[in-house]
Amino acid sequence: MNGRFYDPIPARMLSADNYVQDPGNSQSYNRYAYVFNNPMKYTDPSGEIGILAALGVAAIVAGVSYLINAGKNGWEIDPRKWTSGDGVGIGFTTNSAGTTNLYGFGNAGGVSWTGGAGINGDGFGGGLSTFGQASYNQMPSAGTGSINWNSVNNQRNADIANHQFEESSDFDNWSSNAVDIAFMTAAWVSGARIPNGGSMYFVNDEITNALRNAPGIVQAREKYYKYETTSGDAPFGASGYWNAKGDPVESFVGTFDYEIIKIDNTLQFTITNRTSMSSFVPHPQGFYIWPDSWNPTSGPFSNFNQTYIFTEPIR
Amino acid sequence: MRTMKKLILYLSIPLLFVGCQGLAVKEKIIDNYFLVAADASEWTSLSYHEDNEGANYSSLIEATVFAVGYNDNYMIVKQHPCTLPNPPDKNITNFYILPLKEGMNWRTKNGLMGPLTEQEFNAKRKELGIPKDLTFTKLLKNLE
Repeated sequence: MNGRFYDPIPARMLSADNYVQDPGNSQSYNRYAYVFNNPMKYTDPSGEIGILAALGVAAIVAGVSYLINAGKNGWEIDPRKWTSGDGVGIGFTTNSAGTTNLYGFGNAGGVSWTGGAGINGDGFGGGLSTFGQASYNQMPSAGTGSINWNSVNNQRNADIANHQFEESSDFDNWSSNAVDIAFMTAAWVSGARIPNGGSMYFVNDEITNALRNAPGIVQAREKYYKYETTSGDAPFGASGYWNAKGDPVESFVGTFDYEIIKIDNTLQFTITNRTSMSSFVPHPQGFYIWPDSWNPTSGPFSNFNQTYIFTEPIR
Repeated sequence: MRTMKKLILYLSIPLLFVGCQGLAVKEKIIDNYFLVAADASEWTSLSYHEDNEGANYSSLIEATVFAVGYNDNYMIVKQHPCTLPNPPDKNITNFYILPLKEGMNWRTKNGLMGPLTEQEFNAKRKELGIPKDLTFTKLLKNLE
Protein backbone atom coordinates (compact mmCIF):
# COMPACT_ATOMS: atom_id res chain seq x y z
CA MET A 1 0.00 0.00 0.00
CA ASN A 2 3.01 2.24 -0.23
CA GLY A 3 2.81 2.72 -3.96
CA ARG A 4 2.72 6.10 -5.63
CA PHE A 5 -0.05 7.20 -7.95
CA TYR A 6 0.55 8.47 -11.46
CA ASP A 7 -1.62 11.20 -13.01
CA PRO A 8 -1.61 10.81 -16.80
CA ILE A 9 -2.87 14.37 -17.46
CA PRO A 10 0.21 16.26 -16.18
CA ALA A 11 2.22 13.05 -16.67
CA ARG A 12 3.52 13.26 -13.13
CA MET A 13 3.56 11.19 -9.96
CA LEU A 14 1.28 12.63 -7.28
CA SER A 15 3.83 12.13 -4.52
CA ALA A 16 7.58 12.33 -4.37
CA ASP A 17 9.79 9.29 -4.73
CA ASN A 18 11.44 8.32 -1.46
CA TYR A 19 14.72 7.79 -3.20
CA VAL A 20 17.05 9.66 -5.49
CA GLN A 21 17.52 6.73 -7.81
CA ASP A 22 20.66 7.68 -9.68
CA PRO A 23 22.71 10.50 -8.18
CA GLY A 24 24.67 10.74 -11.40
CA ASN A 25 21.57 11.55 -13.42
CA SER A 26 20.17 15.06 -12.96
CA GLN A 27 16.69 13.82 -13.90
CA SER A 28 16.70 11.76 -10.71
CA TYR A 29 16.41 14.90 -8.61
CA ASN A 30 12.91 15.52 -9.96
CA ARG A 31 11.28 13.04 -7.63
CA TYR A 32 7.87 13.53 -9.20
CA ALA A 33 9.08 12.35 -12.59
CA TYR A 34 8.51 8.89 -13.97
CA VAL A 35 11.50 7.02 -15.38
CA PHE A 36 13.73 10.07 -15.79
CA ASN A 37 11.02 11.79 -17.84
CA ASN A 38 11.85 9.36 -20.61
CA PRO A 39 9.01 6.83 -20.81
CA MET A 40 9.86 6.12 -24.47
CA LYS A 41 13.07 4.52 -23.29
CA TYR A 42 12.41 3.17 -19.81
CA THR A 43 9.65 1.39 -17.97
CA ASP A 44 9.24 0.74 -14.30
CA PRO A 45 6.63 -1.96 -13.87
CA SER A 46 7.35 -2.73 -10.23
CA GLY A 47 9.10 0.36 -8.91
CA GLU A 48 11.18 -1.92 -6.75
CA ILE A 49 14.10 -4.24 -6.96
CA GLY A 50 14.26 -7.08 -4.48
CA ILE A 51 16.88 -6.86 -1.81
CA LEU A 52 17.82 -10.49 -2.44
CA ALA A 53 18.60 -9.66 -6.03
CA ALA A 54 20.71 -6.76 -4.85
CA LEU A 55 22.62 -8.97 -2.47
CA GLY A 56 23.09 -11.58 -5.17
CA VAL A 57 24.55 -9.04 -7.52
CA ALA A 58 26.76 -7.67 -4.79
CA ALA A 59 28.09 -11.10 -3.95
CA ILE A 60 28.91 -11.96 -7.54
CA VAL A 61 30.53 -8.62 -8.31
CA ALA A 62 32.50 -8.70 -5.11
CA GLY A 63 33.69 -12.25 -5.55
CA VAL A 64 34.68 -11.99 -9.17
CA SER A 65 36.43 -8.65 -8.94
CA TYR A 66 38.28 -9.77 -5.82
CA LEU A 67 39.53 -12.92 -7.55
CA ILE A 68 40.61 -11.00 -10.63
CA ASN A 69 42.51 -8.41 -8.70
CA ALA A 70 44.06 -10.91 -6.36
CA GLY A 71 45.32 -12.75 -9.43
CA LYS A 72 46.69 -9.55 -10.88
CA ASN A 73 48.61 -8.89 -7.69
CA GLY A 74 50.41 -12.17 -7.34
CA TRP A 75 47.57 -13.75 -5.36
CA GLU A 76 48.03 -11.31 -2.52
CA ILE A 77 44.93 -11.78 -0.43
CA ASP A 78 45.06 -8.43 1.35
CA PRO A 79 43.57 -5.76 -0.94
CA ARG A 80 45.44 -3.03 0.96
CA LYS A 81 48.69 -4.43 -0.43
CA TRP A 82 47.55 -4.48 -4.05
CA THR A 83 49.49 -2.18 -6.31
CA SER A 84 47.17 -2.36 -9.30
CA GLY A 85 43.71 -3.47 -10.14
CA ASP A 86 40.57 -2.93 -12.09
CA GLY A 87 38.52 -2.25 -9.03
CA VAL A 88 37.28 -4.12 -6.14
CA GLY A 89 34.97 -5.75 -4.51
CA ILE A 90 31.81 -4.13 -3.37
CA GLY A 91 28.87 -4.04 -5.65
CA PHE A 92 25.26 -3.28 -4.91
CA THR A 93 22.10 -2.39 -6.70
CA THR A 94 19.73 0.47 -6.29
CA ASN A 95 16.33 0.83 -7.79
CA SER A 96 16.06 3.84 -10.00
CA ALA A 97 12.74 4.21 -11.71
CA GLY A 98 13.25 1.87 -14.56
CA THR A 99 17.00 1.60 -14.41
CA THR A 100 18.50 -0.86 -12.04
CA ASN A 101 21.95 0.39 -11.36
CA LEU A 102 24.89 -1.67 -10.25
CA TYR A 103 27.49 0.30 -8.38
CA GLY A 104 31.05 -0.60 -7.61
CA PHE A 105 33.46 1.06 -5.27
CA GLY A 106 37.10 0.35 -5.24
CA ASN A 107 40.65 1.15 -5.73
CA ALA A 108 42.54 1.05 -8.98
CA GLY A 109 46.26 1.39 -8.59
CA GLY A 110 45.90 3.54 -5.54
CA VAL A 111 43.35 5.89 -7.05
CA SER A 112 39.94 5.69 -5.49
CA TRP A 113 36.97 5.74 -7.74
CA THR A 114 33.30 4.99 -7.79
CA GLY A 115 31.22 4.00 -10.72
CA GLY A 116 27.76 2.98 -11.68
CA ALA A 117 26.47 0.72 -14.38
CA GLY A 118 22.83 0.76 -15.32
CA ILE A 119 21.56 -2.46 -16.83
CA ASN A 120 19.69 -0.76 -19.60
CA GLY A 121 20.11 1.24 -22.77
CA ASP A 122 23.19 3.32 -22.67
CA GLY A 123 24.01 3.20 -18.98
CA PHE A 124 25.90 -0.07 -18.93
CA GLY A 125 28.85 1.00 -21.03
CA GLY A 126 29.76 4.23 -19.35
CA GLY A 127 29.55 2.80 -15.91
CA LEU A 128 31.57 -0.26 -16.65
CA SER A 129 34.41 1.84 -17.94
CA THR A 130 35.40 2.34 -14.34
CA PHE A 131 36.10 -1.38 -14.11
CA GLY A 132 38.49 -1.29 -16.98
CA GLN A 133 37.52 -0.18 -20.43
CA ALA A 134 34.18 0.71 -21.92
CA SER A 135 33.00 -2.41 -23.61
CA TYR A 136 29.60 -1.55 -24.93
CA ASN A 137 29.75 0.71 -27.92
CA GLN A 138 26.11 0.22 -28.76
CA MET A 139 23.44 -0.69 -26.32
CA PRO A 140 19.92 0.07 -27.47
CA SER A 141 17.29 -0.22 -24.79
CA ALA A 142 16.19 -3.72 -24.01
CA GLY A 143 13.64 -4.89 -26.48
CA THR A 144 13.82 -2.01 -28.92
CA GLY A 145 15.91 -3.89 -31.44
CA SER A 146 17.23 -0.71 -33.00
CA ILE A 147 20.87 -0.32 -33.94
CA ASN A 148 22.74 2.81 -34.90
CA TRP A 149 24.16 1.53 -38.15
CA ASN A 150 26.13 4.69 -38.82
CA SER A 151 28.06 4.02 -35.68
CA VAL A 152 28.48 0.36 -36.61
CA ASN A 153 29.88 1.34 -39.99
CA ASN A 154 32.21 3.90 -38.47
CA GLN A 155 33.48 1.32 -36.02
CA ARG A 156 33.91 -1.17 -38.83
CA ASN A 157 36.01 1.28 -40.80
CA ALA A 158 38.07 2.06 -37.73
CA ASP A 159 38.61 -1.65 -37.16
CA ILE A 160 39.82 -2.11 -40.67
CA ALA A 161 42.17 0.88 -40.39
CA ASN A 162 43.58 -0.29 -37.09
CA HIS A 163 43.56 -4.04 -37.83
CA GLN A 164 42.12 -4.58 -34.36
CA PHE A 165 40.38 -7.72 -35.51
CA GLU A 166 43.72 -9.45 -35.98
CA GLU A 167 44.75 -8.91 -32.39
CA SER A 168 41.96 -10.72 -30.62
CA SER A 169 42.79 -13.70 -28.48
CA ASP A 170 41.22 -15.49 -25.55
CA PHE A 171 43.12 -13.29 -23.11
CA ASP A 172 42.60 -9.86 -24.63
CA ASN A 173 40.79 -7.75 -22.06
CA TRP A 174 40.22 -10.88 -20.04
CA SER A 175 39.65 -9.24 -16.69
CA SER A 176 37.32 -6.50 -17.93
CA ASN A 177 35.41 -9.04 -20.00
CA ALA A 178 35.13 -11.32 -16.96
CA VAL A 179 33.69 -8.47 -14.91
CA ASP A 180 31.28 -7.52 -17.70
CA ILE A 181 30.13 -11.12 -17.99
CA ALA A 182 29.70 -11.23 -14.22
CA PHE A 183 27.38 -8.24 -14.54
CA MET A 184 25.42 -9.94 -17.30
CA THR A 185 25.17 -13.12 -15.27
CA ALA A 186 24.02 -11.06 -12.30
CA ALA A 187 21.52 -9.20 -14.47
CA TRP A 188 20.06 -12.47 -15.68
CA VAL A 189 19.97 -13.97 -12.20
CA SER A 190 18.33 -10.89 -10.71
CA GLY A 191 16.09 -10.16 -13.71
CA ALA A 192 17.23 -6.54 -13.63
CA ARG A 193 16.04 -4.70 -16.73
CA ILE A 194 15.71 -7.91 -18.71
CA PRO A 195 12.08 -8.55 -19.55
CA ASN A 196 11.03 -11.78 -21.22
CA GLY A 197 12.67 -11.78 -24.62
CA GLY A 198 14.57 -8.62 -23.75
CA SER A 199 17.73 -8.12 -25.74
CA MET A 200 21.16 -6.66 -25.34
CA TYR A 201 23.34 -5.71 -28.29
CA PHE A 202 27.11 -5.67 -28.51
CA VAL A 203 28.74 -4.27 -31.61
CA ASN A 204 32.44 -4.33 -32.48
CA ASP A 205 33.59 -4.05 -28.89
CA GLU A 206 35.73 -6.03 -26.50
CA ILE A 207 32.99 -8.53 -25.86
CA THR A 208 32.50 -9.27 -29.55
CA ASN A 209 36.27 -9.34 -30.06
CA ALA A 210 36.35 -12.28 -27.68
CA LEU A 211 34.02 -14.18 -30.01
CA ARG A 212 36.01 -13.65 -33.21
CA ASN A 213 38.15 -16.69 -32.53
CA ALA A 214 35.51 -18.87 -30.87
CA PRO A 215 35.65 -22.38 -32.38
CA GLY A 216 32.09 -22.07 -33.72
CA ILE A 217 32.96 -18.81 -35.47
CA VAL A 218 36.22 -20.16 -36.85
CA GLN A 219 34.28 -23.06 -38.38
CA ALA A 220 31.59 -20.73 -39.68
CA ARG A 221 34.19 -18.47 -41.27
CA GLU A 222 35.88 -21.40 -43.00
CA LYS A 223 32.57 -22.73 -44.26
CA TYR A 224 31.69 -19.31 -45.63
CA TYR A 225 34.90 -19.08 -47.65
CA LYS A 226 34.75 -22.70 -48.72
CA TYR A 227 31.06 -23.09 -49.49
CA GLU A 228 29.47 -19.64 -49.14
CA THR A 229 27.47 -20.93 -46.17
CA THR A 230 25.90 -17.88 -44.58
CA SER A 231 24.08 -19.09 -41.48
CA GLY A 232 23.93 -21.92 -39.01
CA ASP A 233 24.02 -23.17 -35.46
CA ALA A 234 27.20 -23.72 -33.47
CA PRO A 235 26.81 -26.14 -30.55
CA PHE A 236 29.05 -25.67 -27.53
CA GLY A 237 28.79 -28.93 -25.63
CA ALA A 238 30.75 -30.11 -22.63
CA SER A 239 33.97 -29.88 -24.64
CA GLY A 240 33.19 -26.22 -25.32
CA TYR A 241 34.56 -25.20 -21.93
CA TRP A 242 37.88 -26.78 -22.77
CA ASN A 243 37.91 -25.23 -26.24
CA ALA A 244 37.04 -21.81 -24.80
CA LYS A 245 40.33 -21.93 -22.90
CA GLY A 246 39.04 -19.83 -20.03
CA ASP A 247 37.47 -17.14 -22.19
CA PRO A 248 34.55 -15.87 -20.08
CA VAL A 249 32.60 -14.54 -23.06
CA GLU A 250 32.74 -17.79 -25.00
CA SER A 251 31.82 -19.71 -21.85
CA PHE A 252 28.86 -17.44 -21.19
CA VAL A 253 27.52 -17.48 -24.75
CA GLY A 254 27.96 -21.22 -25.27
CA THR A 255 25.79 -22.55 -28.10
CA PHE A 256 24.71 -19.86 -30.54
CA ASP A 257 23.03 -19.13 -33.84
CA TYR A 258 24.97 -17.13 -36.43
CA GLU A 259 24.52 -15.30 -39.69
CA ILE A 260 27.19 -13.93 -42.03
CA ILE A 261 26.46 -11.04 -44.38
CA LYS A 262 28.81 -9.53 -46.95
CA ILE A 263 28.76 -5.74 -46.91
CA ASP A 264 31.05 -4.08 -49.44
CA ASN A 265 34.51 -5.45 -48.64
CA THR A 266 33.67 -6.68 -45.16
CA LEU A 267 31.92 -9.61 -43.53
CA GLN A 268 29.45 -8.95 -40.76
CA PHE A 269 28.92 -11.75 -38.24
CA THR A 270 25.72 -11.64 -36.21
CA ILE A 271 25.58 -14.05 -33.28
CA THR A 272 22.36 -14.65 -31.40
CA ASN A 273 22.25 -16.25 -28.00
CA ARG A 274 19.61 -16.75 -25.33
CA THR A 275 20.45 -17.27 -21.70
CA SER A 276 17.53 -19.07 -20.12
CA MET A 277 16.84 -21.65 -17.49
CA SER A 278 16.32 -24.34 -20.13
CA SER A 279 19.69 -23.66 -21.72
CA PHE A 280 21.43 -23.05 -18.39
CA VAL A 281 20.50 -26.42 -16.93
CA PRO A 282 22.91 -28.96 -18.47
CA HIS A 283 21.16 -31.05 -21.08
CA PRO A 284 22.04 -33.37 -23.94
CA GLN A 285 21.50 -32.07 -27.45
CA GLY A 286 17.89 -32.04 -28.49
CA PHE A 287 16.43 -32.75 -25.08
CA TYR A 288 15.48 -30.23 -22.44
CA ILE A 289 15.74 -31.31 -18.83
CA TRP A 290 14.20 -27.92 -18.05
CA PRO A 291 11.68 -27.34 -20.88
CA ASP A 292 11.03 -24.00 -22.56
CA SER A 293 7.60 -23.77 -21.02
CA TRP A 294 9.05 -23.73 -17.49
CA ASN A 295 11.17 -20.64 -18.14
CA PRO A 296 10.10 -17.66 -16.02
CA THR A 297 8.36 -15.04 -18.16
CA SER A 298 9.76 -12.12 -16.20
CA GLY A 299 12.02 -11.31 -13.31
CA PRO A 300 14.90 -13.45 -12.10
CA PHE A 301 16.17 -16.13 -14.48
CA SER A 302 13.82 -15.06 -17.27
CA ASN A 303 14.88 -15.32 -20.91
CA PHE A 304 17.75 -12.99 -21.76
CA ASN A 305 18.60 -12.57 -25.44
CA GLN A 306 21.91 -11.18 -26.60
CA THR A 307 23.01 -10.21 -30.09
CA TYR A 308 26.70 -9.84 -30.82
CA ILE A 309 27.78 -8.19 -34.06
CA PHE A 310 31.29 -7.78 -35.39
CA THR A 311 32.80 -7.06 -38.74
CA GLU A 312 36.07 -7.90 -40.43
CA PRO A 313 37.59 -7.32 -43.85
CA ILE A 314 36.82 -9.97 -46.40
CA ARG A 315 39.83 -12.11 -47.27
CA MET B 1 50.27 -23.03 -4.29
CA ARG B 2 50.00 -20.29 -6.89
CA THR B 3 49.43 -22.88 -9.58
CA MET B 4 46.67 -24.42 -7.50
CA LYS B 5 44.97 -21.05 -6.99
CA LYS B 6 45.16 -20.33 -10.69
CA LEU B 7 43.75 -23.76 -11.44
CA ILE B 8 40.87 -23.18 -9.04
CA LEU B 9 40.22 -19.79 -10.62
CA TYR B 10 40.23 -21.15 -14.16
CA LEU B 11 37.95 -24.01 -13.18
CA SER B 12 35.52 -21.82 -11.25
CA ILE B 13 35.11 -19.07 -13.84
CA PRO B 14 33.54 -21.27 -16.54
CA LEU B 15 31.21 -22.74 -13.94
CA LEU B 16 30.14 -19.28 -12.85
CA PHE B 17 29.66 -18.12 -16.42
CA VAL B 18 27.95 -21.25 -17.58
CA GLY B 19 26.14 -20.68 -20.84
CA CYS B 20 24.00 -22.76 -23.08
CA GLN B 21 25.56 -26.09 -23.88
CA GLY B 22 23.83 -28.37 -26.33
CA LEU B 23 21.35 -27.57 -29.05
CA ALA B 24 17.81 -27.16 -27.85
CA VAL B 25 16.50 -29.12 -30.83
CA LYS B 26 18.41 -31.71 -32.80
CA GLU B 27 16.47 -34.20 -34.85
CA LYS B 28 17.60 -36.05 -37.92
CA ILE B 29 15.11 -35.94 -40.77
CA ILE B 30 16.90 -37.87 -43.51
CA ASP B 31 20.51 -38.29 -44.61
CA ASN B 32 22.37 -35.10 -43.65
CA TYR B 33 19.25 -33.01 -43.04
CA PHE B 34 18.45 -32.05 -39.44
CA LEU B 35 16.05 -29.88 -37.53
CA VAL B 36 18.23 -27.92 -35.12
CA ALA B 37 17.86 -24.94 -32.80
CA ALA B 38 20.32 -23.17 -30.55
CA ASP B 39 18.90 -22.19 -27.17
CA ALA B 40 15.19 -22.00 -27.96
CA SER B 41 12.84 -24.28 -29.84
CA GLU B 42 11.30 -21.36 -31.77
CA TRP B 43 14.69 -20.90 -33.41
CA THR B 44 14.32 -24.27 -35.17
CA SER B 45 15.82 -24.31 -38.66
CA LEU B 46 16.27 -26.99 -41.30
CA SER B 47 20.01 -27.54 -41.51
CA TYR B 48 22.56 -29.60 -43.33
CA HIS B 49 25.42 -31.23 -41.50
CA GLU B 50 28.46 -33.13 -42.67
CA ASP B 51 30.57 -34.82 -40.04
CA ASN B 52 33.87 -33.84 -41.60
CA GLU B 53 33.07 -30.13 -41.46
CA GLY B 54 33.15 -29.53 -37.76
CA ALA B 55 30.31 -29.31 -35.31
CA ASN B 56 28.43 -26.54 -37.08
CA TYR B 57 25.07 -27.03 -38.70
CA SER B 58 24.50 -24.95 -41.84
CA SER B 59 21.01 -23.47 -42.08
CA LEU B 60 19.07 -24.15 -45.25
CA ILE B 61 15.74 -22.79 -44.09
CA GLU B 62 15.87 -20.35 -41.22
CA ALA B 63 13.65 -20.28 -38.15
CA THR B 64 10.94 -21.11 -37.45
CA VAL B 65 10.54 -24.43 -39.23
CA PHE B 66 7.60 -26.32 -37.76
CA ALA B 67 6.53 -28.98 -40.28
CA VAL B 68 8.48 -31.29 -42.60
CA GLY B 69 7.65 -34.16 -44.93
CA TYR B 70 9.74 -36.06 -47.47
CA ASN B 71 9.88 -38.90 -49.95
CA ASP B 72 12.78 -40.20 -52.01
CA ASN B 73 12.87 -37.17 -54.28
CA TYR B 74 11.62 -34.14 -52.40
CA MET B 75 11.34 -32.57 -48.98
CA ILE B 76 8.52 -30.14 -48.21
CA VAL B 77 8.77 -27.67 -45.36
CA LYS B 78 6.50 -25.19 -43.55
CA GLN B 79 7.92 -22.21 -41.73
CA HIS B 80 6.75 -19.17 -39.76
CA PRO B 81 9.24 -16.35 -40.43
CA CYS B 82 11.23 -15.34 -37.39
CA THR B 83 13.84 -12.61 -37.08
CA LEU B 84 15.99 -13.58 -34.15
CA PRO B 85 15.69 -12.92 -31.34
CA ASN B 86 12.05 -11.93 -31.90
CA PRO B 87 9.30 -14.57 -31.68
CA PRO B 88 8.01 -16.16 -34.92
CA ASP B 89 5.23 -14.43 -36.84
CA LYS B 90 2.53 -17.10 -36.77
CA ASN B 91 0.27 -15.04 -39.03
CA ILE B 92 2.52 -15.90 -41.95
CA THR B 93 3.25 -19.41 -43.20
CA ASN B 94 5.92 -19.95 -45.83
CA PHE B 95 6.28 -23.16 -47.84
CA TYR B 96 9.49 -24.62 -49.28
CA ILE B 97 10.40 -27.48 -51.60
CA LEU B 98 13.87 -29.10 -51.62
CA PRO B 99 14.95 -31.53 -54.30
CA LEU B 100 16.74 -34.35 -52.47
CA LYS B 101 18.40 -36.12 -55.37
CA GLU B 102 19.33 -33.61 -58.02
CA GLY B 103 19.30 -29.88 -58.50
CA MET B 104 20.00 -28.88 -54.91
CA ASN B 105 23.24 -27.34 -53.65
CA TRP B 106 22.91 -27.09 -49.89
CA ARG B 107 25.97 -24.91 -49.60
CA THR B 108 24.71 -22.10 -51.77
CA LYS B 109 21.01 -22.98 -51.39
CA ASN B 110 20.70 -23.07 -55.17
CA GLY B 111 17.73 -25.21 -56.10
CA LEU B 112 15.78 -24.45 -52.94
CA MET B 113 12.26 -23.38 -53.89
CA GLY B 114 10.73 -20.84 -51.52
CA PRO B 115 9.52 -19.06 -49.63
CA LEU B 116 6.22 -19.79 -51.37
CA THR B 117 2.65 -19.00 -50.46
CA GLU B 118 0.28 -21.93 -50.11
CA GLN B 119 -1.11 -21.29 -53.61
CA GLU B 120 2.35 -21.06 -55.15
CA PHE B 121 3.37 -24.18 -53.25
CA ASN B 122 0.41 -26.18 -54.56
CA ALA B 123 1.05 -24.97 -58.12
CA LYS B 124 4.76 -25.84 -57.90
CA ARG B 125 3.98 -29.19 -56.38
CA LYS B 126 1.68 -30.00 -59.29
CA GLU B 127 4.28 -28.80 -61.78
CA LEU B 128 6.98 -31.02 -60.23
CA GLY B 129 4.65 -33.99 -60.02
CA ILE B 130 5.04 -34.39 -56.27
CA PRO B 131 2.48 -37.04 -55.25
CA LYS B 132 -0.39 -36.16 -52.93
CA ASP B 133 0.62 -38.80 -50.44
CA LEU B 134 3.67 -36.74 -49.52
CA THR B 135 2.43 -34.92 -46.45
CA PHE B 136 3.92 -33.03 -43.51
CA THR B 137 4.60 -36.06 -41.35
CA LYS B 138 6.92 -34.31 -38.90
CA LEU B 139 5.02 -31.59 -37.05
CA LEU B 140 6.31 -29.52 -34.11
CA LYS B 141 2.94 -28.72 -32.55
CA ASN B 142 4.21 -26.18 -30.05
CA LEU B 143 5.55 -24.08 -32.94
CA GLU B 144 2.63 -24.51 -35.31
